[in-house]
Amino acid sequence: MNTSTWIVAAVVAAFGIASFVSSYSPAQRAQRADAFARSVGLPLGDALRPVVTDRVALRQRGGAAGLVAGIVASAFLLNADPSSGEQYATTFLLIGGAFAGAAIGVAIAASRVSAPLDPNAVKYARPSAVALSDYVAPLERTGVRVVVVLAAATLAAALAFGAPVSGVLVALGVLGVAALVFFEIAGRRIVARAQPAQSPADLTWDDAVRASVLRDMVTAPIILAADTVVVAGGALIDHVFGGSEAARFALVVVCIAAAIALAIAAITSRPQRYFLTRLWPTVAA
Amino acid sequence: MITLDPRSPVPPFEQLRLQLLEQVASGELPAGSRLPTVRRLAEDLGIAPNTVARTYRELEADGAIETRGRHGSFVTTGGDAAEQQGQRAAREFADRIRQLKLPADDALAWAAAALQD
Repeated sequence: MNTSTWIVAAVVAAFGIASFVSSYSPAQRAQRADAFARSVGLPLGDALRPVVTDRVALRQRGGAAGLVAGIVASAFLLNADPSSGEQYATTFLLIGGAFAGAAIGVAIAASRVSAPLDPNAVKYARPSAVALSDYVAPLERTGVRVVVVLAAATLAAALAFGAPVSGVLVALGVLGVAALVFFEIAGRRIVARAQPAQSPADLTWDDAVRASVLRDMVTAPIILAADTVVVAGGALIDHVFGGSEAARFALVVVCIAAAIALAIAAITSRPQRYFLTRLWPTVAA
Repeated sequence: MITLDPRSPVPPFEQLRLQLLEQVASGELPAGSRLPTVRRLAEDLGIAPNTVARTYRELEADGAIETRGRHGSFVTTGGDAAEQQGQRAAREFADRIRQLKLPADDALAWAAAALQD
């Protein structure tokens, strides 16, 4: 790792530490909870405010701790192998490792939540089973699989054509697949967890936090796989077209166009409110 | 939505059974819907898993739901649950009349009169 990569690692780690510390600040916690309520479009009443604020802060803390652990682990592994390959692949692996760590962090935080019930209170439960597909929009759920398959195919093509593929690039691809497997397994476990509720609003907010955790988790494989496509695609194009500037430019244009298309689709489909349309159609309406 | 009131004089088993039955009959739980697992529903409602298991067994006997092995319990796709229960009650009535060796015409007249009460 060179100086610029160390700087990237330090900036990401500092961001994670700042996010972790701010999750203990009452003002920051309240601000985060309000922002979360606005993003999902649910009113945050006084009765539920403390619970939701705690859940949002716990998610933030888990994600931040995981992000720092992920960047430290990636930096440690990359530093252990000084001949680890392309500079931008190294930076992508660092960032991908941070996202993977954050995904694990939010999953652990979500699995630690427990809401004790008043034994004399009326309990509410949903009469039908829920699935991962009720919380994560098809755009993200299918999109992550498509990007991971595309990454594996690009990496395989680069290897097949004899393009220079570093250990870091292979690690990036493997980590993307591992992050997808983690999302699918841990995500199902989170969905299967009980949702003790003493009001329909309790249940709606639990669904909201659950959906946000799962959406955080799906981000890691998307980032890792997209990075793999860019780096492996670049290596492949350089190898096949002999380092042609036009080919490189075409790859950059395709990547930017894909990123813009995804951003537009994400903004217009409002995936953060997807769970409402599936599980609470009357609230969503 | 299922609600369970621990202070109600109606036992939890019956509260759960009646609500699920009503939601199946009204279509709120459409045919083919998968019910939560016994353990999950018990944890959600803070009751014993045996209570939920018993409710599911009763609903299955009534024809409102069916269990498809480890895939879980589903709302039955064949007809209205209330009608199925009525048919089951009629079969039980007919079996009892046969056991007692009573004339079928008399039994039908009694049933018709009982329904008009």
